[in-house]
Amino acid sequence: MLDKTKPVLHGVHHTAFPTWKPKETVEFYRDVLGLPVLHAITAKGWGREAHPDFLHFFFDAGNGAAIAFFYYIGTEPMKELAGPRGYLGMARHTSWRVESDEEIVAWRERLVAKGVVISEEVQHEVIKSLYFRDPNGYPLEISLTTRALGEADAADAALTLDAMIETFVDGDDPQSKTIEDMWRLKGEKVRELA
Amino acid sequence: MAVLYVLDVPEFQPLVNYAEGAPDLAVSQHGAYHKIEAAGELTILREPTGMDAAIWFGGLVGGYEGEVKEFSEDVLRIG
Repeated sequence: MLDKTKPVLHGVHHTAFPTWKPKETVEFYRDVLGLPVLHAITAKGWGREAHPDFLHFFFDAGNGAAIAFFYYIGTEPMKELAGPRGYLGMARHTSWRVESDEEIVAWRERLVAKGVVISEEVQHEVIKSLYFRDPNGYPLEISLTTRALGEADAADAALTLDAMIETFVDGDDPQSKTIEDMWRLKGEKVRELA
Repeated sequence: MAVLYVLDVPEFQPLVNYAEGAPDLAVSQHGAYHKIEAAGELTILREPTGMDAAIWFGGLVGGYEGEVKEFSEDVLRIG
């Protein structure tokens, strides 16, 4: 039964990114990754603002999710399309789910065979990840969930977010605060739980 | 006195295992958390835990009491 006061989401429909490398982008997503082409929109620019003519094309990333691109004809490429180099350039990324170790191995082997530069596999707290980039420089990740998250994880995360906001936003002199300050406040919150 | 709270989840279990084998550390249950305590300084060496950096450096997420004296790739010291 639909609760109109609390609408729900059902996963990713699509995410979309601009590209000024339409050929390389199609070749990478369709041929290198092997994602089926789902749909391509081609439109004359319209609307109130000056809007270039464009293409908007979609690749199937599985389970109903698509990754899509806009190619704006005749426009100047954006500088630093994927963000600056280093950690900030990795922060905004797309991570796709795989469901077994065999699948993550198969992706690693395919990407290597196709000449894509990939990272070492990184075991994080609850996922195992492979990292690489597309021809636009957009960071991509393939993730395997290594354990299901439960109520204890959610309760712990809620306390962490409270501690973050109280330390770095609402507290005294938040600019001077460190992650150690936040962890100490988290410890106080956890101590009070029992 | 120093305290480290560790959520009872598999990825942080190596911290608890280390503490259970360390004569100067006491481990007790604290709700969904393990409470690791030391009368003096609380020291955990990374190498014997077998934890990779990506998880080790997230190991303080449960919070602590005391002061973090050192948190490097090799050692966590809370005093």
